[in-house]
Amino acid sequence: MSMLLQVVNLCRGDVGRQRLNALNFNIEPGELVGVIGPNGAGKSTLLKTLIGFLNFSQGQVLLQGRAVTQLRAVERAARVSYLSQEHAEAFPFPVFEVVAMGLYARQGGISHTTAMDQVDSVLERLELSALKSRKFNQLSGGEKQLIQFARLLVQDAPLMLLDEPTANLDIGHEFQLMNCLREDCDSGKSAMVAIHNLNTAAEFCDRLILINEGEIVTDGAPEKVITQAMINDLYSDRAFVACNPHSGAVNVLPVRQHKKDRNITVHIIGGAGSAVELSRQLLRLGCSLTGGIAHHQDTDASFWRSQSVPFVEVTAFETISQDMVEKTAPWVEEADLTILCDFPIGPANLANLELASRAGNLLVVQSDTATNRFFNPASEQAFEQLFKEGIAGKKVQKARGINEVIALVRSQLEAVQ
Amino acid sequence: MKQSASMATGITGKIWTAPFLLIVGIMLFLLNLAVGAVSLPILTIVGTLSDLIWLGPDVARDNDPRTFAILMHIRLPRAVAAILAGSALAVSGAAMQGLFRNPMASPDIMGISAGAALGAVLGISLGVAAWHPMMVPLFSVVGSLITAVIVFFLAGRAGAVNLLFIILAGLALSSLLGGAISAVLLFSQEYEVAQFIFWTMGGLEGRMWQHVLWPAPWIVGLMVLALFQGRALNLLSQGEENAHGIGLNVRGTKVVILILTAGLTSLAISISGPIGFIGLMVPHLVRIITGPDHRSLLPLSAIAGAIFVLFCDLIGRWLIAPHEIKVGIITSIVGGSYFIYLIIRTYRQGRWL
Repeated sequence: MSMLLQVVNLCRGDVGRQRLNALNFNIEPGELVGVIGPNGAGKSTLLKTLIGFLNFSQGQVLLQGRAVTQLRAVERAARVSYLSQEHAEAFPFPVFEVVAMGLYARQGGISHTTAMDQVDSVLERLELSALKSRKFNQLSGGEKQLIQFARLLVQDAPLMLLDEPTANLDIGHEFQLMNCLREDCDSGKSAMVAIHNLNTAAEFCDRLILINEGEIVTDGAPEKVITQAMINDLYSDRAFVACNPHSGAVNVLPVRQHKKDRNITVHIIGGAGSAVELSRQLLRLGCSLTGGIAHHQDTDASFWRSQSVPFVEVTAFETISQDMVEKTAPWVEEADLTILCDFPIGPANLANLELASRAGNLLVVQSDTATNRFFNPASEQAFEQLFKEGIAGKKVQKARGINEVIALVRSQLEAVQ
Repeated sequence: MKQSASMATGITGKIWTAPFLLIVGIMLFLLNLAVGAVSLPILTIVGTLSDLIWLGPDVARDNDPRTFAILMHIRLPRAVAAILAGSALAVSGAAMQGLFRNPMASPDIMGISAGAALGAVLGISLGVAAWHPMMVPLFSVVGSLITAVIVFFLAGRAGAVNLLFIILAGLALSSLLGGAISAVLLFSQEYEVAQFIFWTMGGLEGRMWQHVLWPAPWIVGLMVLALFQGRALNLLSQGEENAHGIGLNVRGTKVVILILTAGLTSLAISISGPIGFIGLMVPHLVRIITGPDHRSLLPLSAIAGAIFVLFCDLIGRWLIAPHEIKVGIITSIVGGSYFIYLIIRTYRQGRWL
């Protein structure tokens, strides 16, 4: 009895694309399970099959130990509730009546006042009381979704299946809905949510089931399921798996692909994240980029790697050696423009200044407001020296910020064309 | 406070609507009995009717033979026919609109009207009309039910009932049957054409007890069953998937409602021919007044449907008396023009119908 849902070798014939193949999993009380997978993977089909709306050809779906096909509709609704992706809205029912429809499966046992009390308390919980007497079909898409969610909560089934409940919601309401499910699951219910937003799924769900072409690919903790290999394989090679810096959950980030359609090569010497915004804007302009020497785990290094910008990497906190400078120097010498970003300078990365001095066409970014830029007087001296001697006789320009750099590059691009 | 107040007015509105409609209905019923070639005073009618009910037909006939004859042989069966056909068509219209979640659905969506018309036209052409006055209505019921069954099986697939396919199959079959009707009409005699018009347009002229009495218990029975589908139809308004999740037996409900509406529509047509616009318009009007809740919509549509047909028949008989205009023509004109007004008004308000 403890198992809310048992799925044993569930198969569904190939009626069009709505195919399921040999699915096995259980859901226990307290679990919030996300069902993820690309469009057309079979997420909705799975949910509809679990509630008995779609037939299946083989296997078993047990709700608290009883086969879904053997249960009467009302008995089933007492065990599992369902929120569909489809929205019907032909008739102007008031919101409270729509929410009260969730009580259908147990209306026999409760009075009208109790029913209305339950509707009220759920609407209050979702902060939707103001909508109570509005016409359902005049609400916005997101409001409708939330009201349907309220209807699901009123049904009070121990297992809730939701098909993309957050599809129409803004980020605030998305979190409100997921938090609500989280609370209910923490108090012993369970929910299974088909969801497209992998970040939300990873943040809120205990467990993810990844489906593709009607089969379970992985079933487990979010960080086990959402991997770079999986993302590249099933979703896109332009999305990257990272870690949500605020919650620690696994995070998937889209990365836009830039066309390199300008005939100009820019070398960027950066560090400590100083090159990210500049590199991004230059890529957008269509420039070809090369990166300087960056330390492992430096933000610039991660960014350049994600964008496939060639650069030279050294271990974290390692002092950049002369070898490294020699290795990188050809890129600097070939570049149409070398930009020295506004990064803190200390013994470890002093050699980056040496690298800059090799440039034929150097642009130095130095904001007026920068303080504490230099780790020690030696590094400041080296920086001063760069201007006095290191690049004697060469063209050096200065810019006070990224905007000035971009304007400069733009004018240069126009001059080229 | 504001919310509870508006809820309260909503409920009061519903509470007063039913008795109001009933009173209007009874008044129209009596007017229908009173108006005609021979005008009868309302009090005389009430007297004869109460004699009939409390003291039996023999006493009523003896007390006022003339009134009794007019009422019993001409006007009463006609009024009862109007009530039965109007309420049956309106209820099945309301149920169909609920089932299809579309306020534009109507009871003959399954090609039932065309089936009934073809059945009747065939009956007349084959000469079976002469055997017994009930043969043609019987043919029409059989024709419409066969059509409904064909549509049902065309649209049903692997145990599921796909509503879109019902509409498509209904449309296809309607046009097919329409062609067949025209073909039969081409080869028919002139004297048969008047009868054909009845079965393609709908009317109440010449309705006798024999037309009314046999379908009456069926209509009442099916209508009572249909009234119990109110909550199910409410749930279906949230879409089939959600309704299933809430705990409704969606497949069963769909089949039951399709059977009920097919039965009600074909029986109504066997009485009055396919009177247009009632199933489409009446539920609409009721929904505007009391809201979309099918638990009130279905019974109120029954009363309002009866009222609408009684009213249209009254107009049809009074407008160019002693001639009369078929009730189907009046419903189409009244219904059609009201509908145009409704569309323009709703469109201007940017609202849903």
